[in-house]
Amino acid sequence: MKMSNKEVLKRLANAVQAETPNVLENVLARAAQTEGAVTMTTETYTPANAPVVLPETMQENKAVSFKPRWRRLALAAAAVLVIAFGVFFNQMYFSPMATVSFDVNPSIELKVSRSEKVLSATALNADAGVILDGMNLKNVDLNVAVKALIGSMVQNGYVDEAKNSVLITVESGNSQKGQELQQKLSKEVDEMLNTHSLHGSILSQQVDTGDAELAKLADTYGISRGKAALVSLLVEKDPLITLEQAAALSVHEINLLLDSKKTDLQSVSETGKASTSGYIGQEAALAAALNHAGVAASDIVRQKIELDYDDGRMVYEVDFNTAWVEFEYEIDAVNGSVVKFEREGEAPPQNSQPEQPVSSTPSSANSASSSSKEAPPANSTGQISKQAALDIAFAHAGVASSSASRTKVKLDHEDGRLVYEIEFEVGRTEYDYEIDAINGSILKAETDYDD
Amino acid sequence: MVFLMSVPVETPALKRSNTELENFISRIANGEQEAFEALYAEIQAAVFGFALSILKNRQDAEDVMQDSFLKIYHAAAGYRPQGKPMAWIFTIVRNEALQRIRAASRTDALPEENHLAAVPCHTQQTINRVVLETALQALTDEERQIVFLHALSGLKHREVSEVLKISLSTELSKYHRALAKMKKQIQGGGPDENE
Repeated sequence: MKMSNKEVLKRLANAVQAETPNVLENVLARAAQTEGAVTMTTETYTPANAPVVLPETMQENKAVSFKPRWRRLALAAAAVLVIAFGVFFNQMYFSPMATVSFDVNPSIELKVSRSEKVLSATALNADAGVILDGMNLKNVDLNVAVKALIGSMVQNGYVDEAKNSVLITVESGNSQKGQELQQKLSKEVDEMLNTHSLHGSILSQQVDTGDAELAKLADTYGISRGKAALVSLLVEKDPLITLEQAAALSVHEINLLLDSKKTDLQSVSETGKASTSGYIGQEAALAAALNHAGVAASDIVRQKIELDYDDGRMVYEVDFNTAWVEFEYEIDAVNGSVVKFEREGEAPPQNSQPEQPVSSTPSSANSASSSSKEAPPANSTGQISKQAALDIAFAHAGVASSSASRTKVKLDHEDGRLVYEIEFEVGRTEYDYEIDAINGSILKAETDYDD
Repeated sequence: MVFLMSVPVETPALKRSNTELENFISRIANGEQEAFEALYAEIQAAVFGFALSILKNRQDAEDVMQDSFLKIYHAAAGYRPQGKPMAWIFTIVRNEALQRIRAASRTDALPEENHLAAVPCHTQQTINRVVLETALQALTDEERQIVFLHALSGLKHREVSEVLKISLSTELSKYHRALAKMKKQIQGGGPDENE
């Protein structure tokens, strides 16, 4: 299995996170002991006025000297009572047959009655608020409501040719009915998009009301349960992306990533295909990488291109080899700029060089290891000068030496070979190079963006 | 219908900005438990991981993790905001860990045998675990600490070199060497490949 540096670090982080013990309780307890104060009690709560599930830490809070939160919680408790009663009332008089949610960017939840009329429409995020603004969907036929919602999303630019994914999630006590609803709605949304000359990628699924994991996930990240299900699928397929990152992506981005990794969607049905027209496309990404690397397409022995998500943006991961060198690139999927690149290996030297003696203190007079004197170019030991190495690095990075700061050059010997280790910064970018001290070829090149 | 207060399902990699972290610290100094809990949630893996990278065994790391958080709680009042809260935190962890090593130096109880036993069958987790064990076994002390700091906190090279009190160029070369070693061991074969 081939791993990039990034992958190694992320897997390490995941492994650590999985093993991190929970010592919060102990710490709080010890903190209280050292202070000797007991100001926090749970006496203000009686079962009567606290029909809420308190987080564990609150209940353990008897001996900690932090300021009391009881006031805030008492208010929350009162609010919950009101809501609980309201829901109870509601449930009595309007029992929904199913809950249908739509996720694009906007996340909208509809409760639907047995007669397929909309009982309620809730905006689960700010974008949804924009869509639902001024719309009264109560008692409206589901079909009509869906048309109105999709139409509004198109009008407000949430769905277009480049971002064409819509997620429909149905939650119903009756899975047969749920299935029917799922298929019907898919078709309707598809048709609706067609009338706007759009070809949608409609994802649809059913979720289980009783799925506590899913509910917790949805709650934590403030997303709908439908989206949470999709997010889980993505995170399972791609261990390098965290739940938090995935939850912040749009449905279209998640769809593209799942697509790119050829994920078996399992319980999610899809009609249509996720559009990549918002991005430059794999061809263009490869071309950008080749261009930067100075490699011709005909020299490529192996390549792999995948859409991925890193550091807050969608990128193409472009990996390719020539006969001697391995390249790993990340190309911004929207504007084609090079985000990251790494190369390893070197082409065999053009001229035949005798094997240089492997010693860290070369006996020949001219090779200065870390002195600040500049050695003359191409001296008698066949070693290039520091300045020459620097020039190679600057040229490769495409920067002028005058714009580089904190420049460091060190002659080192690694793996039986003399190399110049070069670092410099331009603005907020750190560059790292290893240049072969004999033939000037670039052994390693890394760019680190400081954000 | 019950109103649940959300508890994070998984601790994300550090996502809070430095400003938010410093805000937590000053609120902790004021005795606000919420802020302490929020800070804990955010950095718990980073603290544990870094302690583990120094001490190499999980029990010691857990103890130092506790000591560090206690120290953070007490020292919050004295923290002067300079835009580098993680450096402050990691320095606390480092000091606590080194203290522990000094205290235990007689008994030399360091390495632990906690190989890949009892790992749940999910493939991705197994691979992750391999990466962790490789880091614990195949790297020198400094290499290991460097790698853990990068993985867990996203600190930049310069900041890592400041926490560990080494020069930037040393940090950079050890970082690359450590990753190369790890990749070689993970991908290539067993331990004891010639370095």
